[in-house]
Amino acid sequence: MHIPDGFLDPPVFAAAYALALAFLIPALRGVQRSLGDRQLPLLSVLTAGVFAAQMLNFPILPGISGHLVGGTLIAIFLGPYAAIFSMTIILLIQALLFGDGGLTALGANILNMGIIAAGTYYVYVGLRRIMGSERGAVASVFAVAWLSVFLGALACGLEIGLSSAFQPLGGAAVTVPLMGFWHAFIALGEGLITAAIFTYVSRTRPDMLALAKIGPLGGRPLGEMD
Amino acid sequence: MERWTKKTLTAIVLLTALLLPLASAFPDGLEKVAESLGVKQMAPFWNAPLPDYALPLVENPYLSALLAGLTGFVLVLLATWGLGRALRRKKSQTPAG
Repeated sequence: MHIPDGFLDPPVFAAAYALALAFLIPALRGVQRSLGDRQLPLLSVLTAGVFAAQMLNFPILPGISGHLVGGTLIAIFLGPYAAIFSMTIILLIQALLFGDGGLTALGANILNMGIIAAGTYYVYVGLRRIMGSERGAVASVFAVAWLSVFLGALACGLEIGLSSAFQPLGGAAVTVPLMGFWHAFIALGEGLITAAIFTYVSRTRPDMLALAKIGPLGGRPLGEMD
Repeated sequence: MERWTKKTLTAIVLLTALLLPLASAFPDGLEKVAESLGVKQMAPFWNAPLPDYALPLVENPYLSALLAGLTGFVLVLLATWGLGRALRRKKSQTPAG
């Protein structure tokens, strides 16, 4: 879902940069305030792991592939601000070193794959209030990971749809449903992988999931498997 | 470094090395949409040194992708750890003046 250079018009990528910065600045402050000795190693491992996982495209339908985005995974472990911080580092290195995602589109990519995923953390908190069991926790993780990619794809569809490269083809009225349609399938991979990692860690190292979360709502740890 | 951290990092590297040859070369969702609408990728605004996760001069495509991936993996790891540490140090300095 990495938008390359040339897909977005300057007003669109400038607005996306402004919106991304509006979330990135409080996220950096939150990390500065709340990142502790126990969270830093986990955050580093998760961020590097998500980078590696993003190289592993899985086929999802004939002629189409997807890969883990990972924003939801990080948000569930360490909170929404941690997710924005990590995804920004990944996307910046991908754009600068590997040409994966354009530099002009970096703000939009941070928005679609970092900030929206971080926002779905609150859906997860809400779902966990209703479903407290272990099975409920895994179902919530799957649903929220799916949602993060689906919503990110709709945002991406809107951004490209508002830009001139996609205008003669019907603009957002075409790109938003198309992005949503393909990513409804691709996002199943996000749900499966995120739920599998969550299940594995909650059985082997539940303390890793009980660390204080970084983000608004006080960074209160959300007790897992309680 | 805690044992869990070392073990997990090792597991990620091994799993990536194992799964990389199986990675799909099909276009992703956005590329598929652009392709189906006939929108061509333009020349990038920035020329990245390792485009498409490949190390130049390494002819074997698997090794090239693996080494490029490892480079990125280590960079992301160090960047997150270093930036996290730097932000925290900045905070601890402020109250003492």
